[in-house]
Amino acid sequence: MAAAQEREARSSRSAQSYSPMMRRSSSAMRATRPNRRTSYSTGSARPQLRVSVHDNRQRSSVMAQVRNVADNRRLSALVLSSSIALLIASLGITLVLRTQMTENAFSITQTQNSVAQLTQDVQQDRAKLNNLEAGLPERATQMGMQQGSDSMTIDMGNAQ
Amino acid sequence: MLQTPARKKYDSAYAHTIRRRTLAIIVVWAIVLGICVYRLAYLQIFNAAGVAQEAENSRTITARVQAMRGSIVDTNGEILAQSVEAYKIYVDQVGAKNFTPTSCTPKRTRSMTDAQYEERAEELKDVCHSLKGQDVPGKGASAVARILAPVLQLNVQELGAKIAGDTRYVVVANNVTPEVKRRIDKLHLSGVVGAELISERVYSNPTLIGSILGGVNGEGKGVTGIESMEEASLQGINGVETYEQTNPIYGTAKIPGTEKVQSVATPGGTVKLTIDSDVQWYLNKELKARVENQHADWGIGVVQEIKTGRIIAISDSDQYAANSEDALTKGSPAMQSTFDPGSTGKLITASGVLQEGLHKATDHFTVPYSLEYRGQTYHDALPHGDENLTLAGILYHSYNTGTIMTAYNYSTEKRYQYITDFGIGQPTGINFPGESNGLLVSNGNDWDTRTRETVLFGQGYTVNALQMTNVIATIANGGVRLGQRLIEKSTNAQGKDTTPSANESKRVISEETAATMMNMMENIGEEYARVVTVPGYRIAGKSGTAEVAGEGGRLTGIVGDYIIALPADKPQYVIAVFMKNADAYYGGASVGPVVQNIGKFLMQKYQIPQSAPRTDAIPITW
Repeated sequence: MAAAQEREARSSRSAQSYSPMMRRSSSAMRATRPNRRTSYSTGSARPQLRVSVHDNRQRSSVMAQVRNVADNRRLSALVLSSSIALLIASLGITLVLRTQMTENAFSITQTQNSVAQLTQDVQQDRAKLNNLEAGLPERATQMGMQQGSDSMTIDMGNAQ
Repeated sequence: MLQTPARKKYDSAYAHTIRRRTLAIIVVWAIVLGICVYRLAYLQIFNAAGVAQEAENSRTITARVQAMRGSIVDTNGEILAQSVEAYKIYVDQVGAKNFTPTSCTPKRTRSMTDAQYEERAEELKDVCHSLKGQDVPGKGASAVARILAPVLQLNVQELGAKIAGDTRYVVVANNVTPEVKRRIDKLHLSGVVGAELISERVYSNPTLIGSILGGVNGEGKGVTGIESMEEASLQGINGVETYEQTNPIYGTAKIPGTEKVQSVATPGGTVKLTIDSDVQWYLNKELKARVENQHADWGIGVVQEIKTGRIIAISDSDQYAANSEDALTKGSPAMQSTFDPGSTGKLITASGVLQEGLHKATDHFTVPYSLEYRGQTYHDALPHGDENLTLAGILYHSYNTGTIMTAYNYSTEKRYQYITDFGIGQPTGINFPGESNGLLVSNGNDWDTRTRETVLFGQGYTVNALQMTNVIATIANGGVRLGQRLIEKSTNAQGKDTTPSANESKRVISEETAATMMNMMENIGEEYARVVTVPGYRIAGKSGTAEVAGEGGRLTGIVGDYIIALPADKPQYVIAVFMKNADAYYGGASVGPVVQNIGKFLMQKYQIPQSAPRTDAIPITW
C-alpha cells in the first residue's frame, strides 16, 4: 500500500515536471526563491534584480519548438510529396514495363509464327528436293543417258 | 401561420413516419450494399485466386501437339520417307449457313470525302470477300463454296453440297500444304473455315520400294511394311499445348499470345535401311522391263551383300506406290510369295551329300533320263541318253535322276536337316509384316515316298525369294549362314538405338565343302555365260525351273530363277531373280539378262576388283 502511494506521488511529480503549466509554475517558484532568501537575510523590501535569462531561454525554446514543428511539417510534406512522386513514378514505370512486355510478347509470338512458317517452307522445299533427286535417274534415262556396260580397269600385271 | 395542436401532432407523426421509412430504406440499402461489399470482398480478396483460376480454366483448351513421324532413309542417307507439316481444312456448317460476304466496295455517302472513301476501302481490304476482283454473289454455304473451292481446287457445287448442313466440323480437304493454308487465311473466312495442323507422310519416290515401305493410316500410324515394322522407332512423342479461346458462343477462336507449351513434341527416330536406292532403282527398271518383255505374271529380284547379310535391293514387278491402296492391302510379293525352288534346291542336296562325306564332287555316275527308284519313276526335264558324269556334272546339267543317285545313302533326317539348316521353312529374321516362311513339313518322316526324293531337286517344299537368296549366300560365305537384314540402324524418338537384331549366324557346311560347291556352281556360271556375262568377273550360279500351281491349282505354272554369287573367286553379292510364267521356259533364259545387268551395275558401282583367271575347275564328265 505504501509502495503504491509512493509510485503515485512519484508519478504526480513526474507529471508536474513535464506539464507546461507546471513548467511555468516552477519558473515562478524559482523567481520567488530570492525573495524568500532576502526575507531571511534582510527582512526589508529592496529593489530586486531579476535575471531575465530564463525568460529569453524560455522564449527561444518555444521558437525552436515552433521552428522545429515547422521544419518537421516541411519535412513531412517533402516526404509525402516524394512518396507520392515515387508511387506515381512506380506506377508509370510499371505501366511502361508492362506495355513493353506485351509488345515483346507480341513480337515473340510473331517471330515464333515466322519461324514455324519458315520451318514449314523448309520442310516442303526439302521434300521437293528429295523428290527431284529421287527422280534424277529416271530423268537421265529419259534424256538418253545410259549405264556404262563394263567396269573400266587398268591391268598393271606387266608394269615394271 | 399558427399551428393548431392537432396539426402539430399530425406533422410530428408524419415526420416520424418519414424518418422511419427513410431509416428503413437506408437499412435496406445498407444491407444490399453490405452484401455487395461482402461479395466483392469475397471475389476480389478472399477467393480472388480461385475465381481467376476457374475463369482461366473455363477458357483454356488443352491441345495435343502432334509429333512428326521419323524418317526412313536408304543406306546412303537418302530420304525415302519423311513427314512434313500439312493441314486438315474443316468447315463450320452453322457458320457457313449464316455467312454473308462483305463487299470490298464501300458504300458512298453524301458527306463522305474522297479521302474518307479511300480510307474506308483500304479498311475493307482486310475483311472483305471477293472473287476475281468482283463481289461474291449469294450468301450462306454457296458463297463460302464459291470463295473456298478455287483455292482448294475443288468443284464449287461438290464443295457447296459438302458444307451445307448443321454440323460444326466437316473436313473438306486433307494434307493441304502450308502455302495453300496461307491462301485460305487470306480469304477472311476465319469464323467459318478452320485449319488443323497434321503430319503428312511424303515419299521421295513412291514406287522405288513402295511395297516394302508400306504405308500409314489416317492417324499417321504404320499399318504395313517398314512403316508398321518400325512403328516404335518412327512414332514421335506428342507434345501438349494450352491456349485460351474466346467465348464459344462467339466462335472458338484462339486468343493470340495465350499459347503455353506444356511439353514439347519430339519427332520420331530415323530408320536407316540396308537398301541402296541406286541399285534398287536399277533393279526395278531392269525387272519391270524384262517382265514386260517376257509377258511374265510377275518377277522378283533380290540383291544381298554376302559378308553382312544386308539386303541391298529387293524388288517386284508390281512396284506399288508407298502408302497406296495396293501397298496397304496387297503387301510385298517379294516377301510374301512362295514357290517351289526347283533346281536351285539341288544345291542344298549337293552340299549335304558332300558335307556328310557320302560322295566327292569328282565321283563317277552314269546318269539315265529315267530312273526307277523305290517304286517311283523319276525323269529329267528333257530326254537324254545315259551320261557319264561326275557329281559336279550332275549339278551342271541339273539332272533329277542323277541327283537322286547321289543321295541313295542320304537319309531322310539329313535331307530335312540340311534344308532347315539352310534356313528353309523358317523366318528370315527380318520380321517383315506378312512375311511368309514357306511350306515345309515339321518332320522329314512326314514326307511320302515320292516327296522324300523330289525334295532333293527342290520340289515338295516352298520358299520365298529371300530364303533362296540366302542359300546361295551361305555357300558363298564359306558355309556360314548369316541372318538377313533390311534395317541397318534405327533410333527412336529419344535417340535410343532400336536396331533389330538379325538371326544368329550358323555354320551349315564346312569351308572346304562351300569352296567345292562354289567351284561346281562356277561350272554352271560358265555354261550360262552365253546369257549372263559380267566381263572381268567369274560367276558362280544355279538356275532353277520349278512347276508351280497355276490356274485351278494344277501344276501348270512355271517359276524360273537364276541365282548367282559375284565374283565367284571373292564373292561379294548374291543376285537372285525369279519370274513366273515367262515366255522363256528355263530360268536362266528368262531372268538371265536382268541378273547380268545388275551384276555389271554392282561391279561398277562398288568398284569390285576383277577376278583372277580360273585354274581349278572340277571335271563334269569322266
